[in-house]
Amino acid sequence: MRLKTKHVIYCLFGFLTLLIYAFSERKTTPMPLVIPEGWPKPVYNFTKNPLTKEGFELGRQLFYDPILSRDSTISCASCHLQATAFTHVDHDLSHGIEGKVGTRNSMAIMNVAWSKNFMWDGGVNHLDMQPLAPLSSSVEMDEQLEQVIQKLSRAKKYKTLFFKAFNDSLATGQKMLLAFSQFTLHLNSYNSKYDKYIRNEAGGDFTEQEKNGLQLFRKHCASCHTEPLFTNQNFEKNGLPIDSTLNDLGRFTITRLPVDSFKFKVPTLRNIQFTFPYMHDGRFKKLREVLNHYTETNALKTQIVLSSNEKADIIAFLLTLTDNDFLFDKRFGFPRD
Amino acid sequence: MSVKSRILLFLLSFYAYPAIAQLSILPVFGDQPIAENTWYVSTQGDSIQFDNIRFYLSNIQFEMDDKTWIKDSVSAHLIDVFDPATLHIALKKIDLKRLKTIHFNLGIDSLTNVSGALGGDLDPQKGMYWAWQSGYINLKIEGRSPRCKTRKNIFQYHIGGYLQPFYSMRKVELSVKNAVAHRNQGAIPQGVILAVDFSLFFGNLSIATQNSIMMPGKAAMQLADYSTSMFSIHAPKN
Repeated sequence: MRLKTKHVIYCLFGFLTLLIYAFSERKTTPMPLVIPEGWPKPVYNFTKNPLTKEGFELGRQLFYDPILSRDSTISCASCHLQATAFTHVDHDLSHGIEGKVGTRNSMAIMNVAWSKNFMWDGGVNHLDMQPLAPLSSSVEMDEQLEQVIQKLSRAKKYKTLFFKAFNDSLATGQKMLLAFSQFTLHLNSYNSKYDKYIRNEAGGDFTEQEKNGLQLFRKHCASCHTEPLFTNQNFEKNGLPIDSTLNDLGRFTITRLPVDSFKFKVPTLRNIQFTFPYMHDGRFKKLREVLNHYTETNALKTQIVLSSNEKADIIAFLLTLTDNDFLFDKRFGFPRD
Repeated sequence: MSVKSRILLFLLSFYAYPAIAQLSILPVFGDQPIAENTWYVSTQGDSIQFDNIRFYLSNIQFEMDDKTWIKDSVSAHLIDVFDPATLHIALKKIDLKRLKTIHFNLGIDSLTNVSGALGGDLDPQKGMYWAWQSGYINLKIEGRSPRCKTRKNIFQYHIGGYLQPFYSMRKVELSVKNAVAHRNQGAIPQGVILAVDFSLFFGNLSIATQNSIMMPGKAAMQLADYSTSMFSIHAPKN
């Protein structure tokens, strides 16, 4: 009889502990996205992944951690450096694990909350799914998601970080991907000289040359590189001759529609000063080369005609898209504990 | 039994709520059950062995004889032919005697395909997700056949694609009339047996030439069409 009472007490005690545990939810700190005035509504659905400080911090740790690659040598930051607007500077084609070289120039990571799809060919349909591509690529990280989750589950540091972010220390693919989005969604550039000019703020005084450059830009370039994101998010054929060493068909690879052959995503021009080399295969080192290409006879349907001075003015304007607040924001840098 | 394990058992009993009935998946090749390291011969005379067969059953709905529909509480189930735990789906609140038709999708619908990071069986860590061209793999069949002149005689079918004109999810509708197992067979709850006969898939296929289909497109669409014929409601012999 005494034994039974004891059991009941034990059971009740166990049940109570469970109850307390179940309701002792850790509080997370909201960290909503800053949406600059006059910008369109973001594409990303935040109701499914509310941004928190803890989620951002987990995403940041993951972004800078080579644990994601097969041999722990490559992190996201290997090809996406903050100082160059999160792209791989000075490499026409980006390289990954064991020095293997890919087929395209890594894209800059900026203002991704407004992107409908990702990659030069738009093959990735949602920001959450983007990390899976470099992770599994045999020339980038060459790792499998299952393996990454196992590695993260073994690391004490990540148990704590997952618990803080999701109130559950168990690492899963879903949670890892959501945390990545939490970090990259905050990588937003909206404080360039151009932005200050538009907002009539201090530091936004344009020179005559920059003003003229903006006008020329709006006339000749803005149909694809539309303000304020400086991309229309579409895929366009920009008249580049085919590189026979790559034979990259671009958007066609995804849609299999002949009309999409040699179309590539229109990239943003923000921080373009530092994102060289340019184009999907990084074939141009200088902005002047890019403009020279677009003013050639057969590049675009309607030829752009620009004088040498006008090109200089456009370049002067493009340099106003540099955003040092973004490039040097400590929150986005390598996490030093 | 220690006190600790008694407490554990007690707490576990809350989770082990018995299912009223279940949908059991029975993978077969003709009249043989599918097993690892076993050779099967297709109607085309090809010898075949399986290493991996996995597929999604999603949006399962039960049409009752009074025209009401009951929806499965889980949106998608990943079935792994070689993992017995995945071969039974609990059907709560379904009166089997009134069950008329089972409806389900083989694969994942286009909306789910563009919904970002999902959990449970839809977690990309399950290995049923394409990285370079976003989208779920609806059906994976991997194995070997001497007829395949590939490395290690391997064949690989990864069928997926959610964008038109290569939307490879397929709707399946099966009448359950007269096929419900009314008997309670020992500890196994009574239920419906969904037979999946892979010989019907391979009966259509020229395995010598079609042995590696791993992206959305025409070929995947054709295989998706073949795959629906595999499903039937198994009528147990009383």
